[in-house]
Amino acid sequence: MSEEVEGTVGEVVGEADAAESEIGYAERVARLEAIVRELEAGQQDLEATLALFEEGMGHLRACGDALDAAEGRLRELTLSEAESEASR
Amino acid sequence: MDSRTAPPEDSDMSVLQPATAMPVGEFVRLLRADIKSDQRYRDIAITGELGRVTVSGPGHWYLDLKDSDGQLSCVAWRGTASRIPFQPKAGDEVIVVGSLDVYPLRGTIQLVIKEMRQVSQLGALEEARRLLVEKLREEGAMDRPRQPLPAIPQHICLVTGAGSAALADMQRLIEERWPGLRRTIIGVLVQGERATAEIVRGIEAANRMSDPFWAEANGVPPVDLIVCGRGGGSPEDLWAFNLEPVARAVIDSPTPLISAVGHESDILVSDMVADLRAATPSHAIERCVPYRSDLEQQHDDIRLAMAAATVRRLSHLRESVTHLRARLGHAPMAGVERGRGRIDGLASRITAGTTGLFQHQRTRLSRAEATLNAIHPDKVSERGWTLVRDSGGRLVTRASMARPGQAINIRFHDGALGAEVTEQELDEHE
Repeated sequence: MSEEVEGTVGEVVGEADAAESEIGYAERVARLEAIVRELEAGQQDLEATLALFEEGMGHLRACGDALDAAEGRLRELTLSEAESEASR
Repeated sequence: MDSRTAPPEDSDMSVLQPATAMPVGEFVRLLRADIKSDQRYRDIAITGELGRVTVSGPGHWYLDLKDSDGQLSCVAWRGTASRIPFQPKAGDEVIVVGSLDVYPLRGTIQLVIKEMRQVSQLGALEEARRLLVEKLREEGAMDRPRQPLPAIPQHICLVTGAGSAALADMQRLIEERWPGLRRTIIGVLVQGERATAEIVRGIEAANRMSDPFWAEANGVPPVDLIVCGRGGGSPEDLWAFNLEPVARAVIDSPTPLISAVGHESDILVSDMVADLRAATPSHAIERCVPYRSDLEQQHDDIRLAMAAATVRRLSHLRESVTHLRARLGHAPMAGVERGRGRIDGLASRITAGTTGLFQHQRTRLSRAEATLNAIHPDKVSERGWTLVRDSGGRLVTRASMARPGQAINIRFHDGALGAEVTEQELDEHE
């Protein structure tokens, strides 16, 4: 039985991982809101509940990563600097 | 005309006599009187481009009016000059109204200006703009689908005047909303003759930086948003953004582009064709850079709501298992062991699941669970589950807590029943 739980959860998380790069931030937030609504409706069995929770945590982590990834260098270039850099 | 100015009748020699020659001052005075009395030279309107412009000490303006075929000296006396609503400068296209006069001390003809106004270059420019808008509309550039802006720009590129106030405003706003947001600024001329070409080249350079191969080679995320614009100015100052090359660069930009030019009321062609028109450069930043703290708060809210809902669900499931376990006591012996095994399995998985959650969310969950415990009995009773209390009002949560013959109260979601315990069967392991 416990193997079955892990299998189900693993499968869901695995799918999320595979699609990682294709899912935008806004889609993740939309999915998270859907997950919260589903969990709040309280109709799932144990496996589905845990799978939803795990999927949600995965999206939250990715959302947090997206916030960190937006930070970086500030560069101020003249037009000719920009042009020579852009054509590298 | 005086008879002395009549052409000589006989020979050239006759006029080259001191007695017949006219003093130059007198001639100029006569000429002046002639010109001033000739209606053809009064209140005439002349148009041309201003050449040299000199303002004298007392405040008179001395102007050269010219075009490709000729030139005329003009003067606007102080009183007139003070009423002219603009400061003339070389290169201005103007219309002047005035009368011809001769300045005797130099013998020069000059136009004494009564009125002057600028011939708006805007007139011609406005017409060109109107035609461009019409053309772009016919091509469908105005109605084409716009690219969505990224929810979080990973690499924003600002194409604007280097060192401009607009750039400073944008920088300040970005730091306020998202400190350290990755950005590249491309400084270009935003007014004057070279502005159009520089803006186009700036947009093109930004777009090359949106190429994933370029980004990988340079170790940065590709540019995923361009903000192109400048602060307020006169219509002429902003005009580059009304010209076709800039409009084309905006339309052809494969990267989402926000046009942010001038003030609220300035609507340029680049605004009409961009993926988003921002009223001002500051407004552009407000539209595309969220407050990082807001997003973090949103994450926290979601995390809490998700944890609370999950714990609530797991609590319900746990109660179901407890209930099933109790009912197994009454079940026929066949299958009881198998059922008990399943129930125990469920119970341990719920415990494991809950424990796992608590490791992630210990503090949030305990807060959430406290709230939930206050709520869930109602939900449970709606599904037909009951609360049993003894005559003292204490909850009877185990079969071993009551004795045959004891009065109990059974609480349903819609009311209660009084009952008496007639039999007691205790499970072995309880």
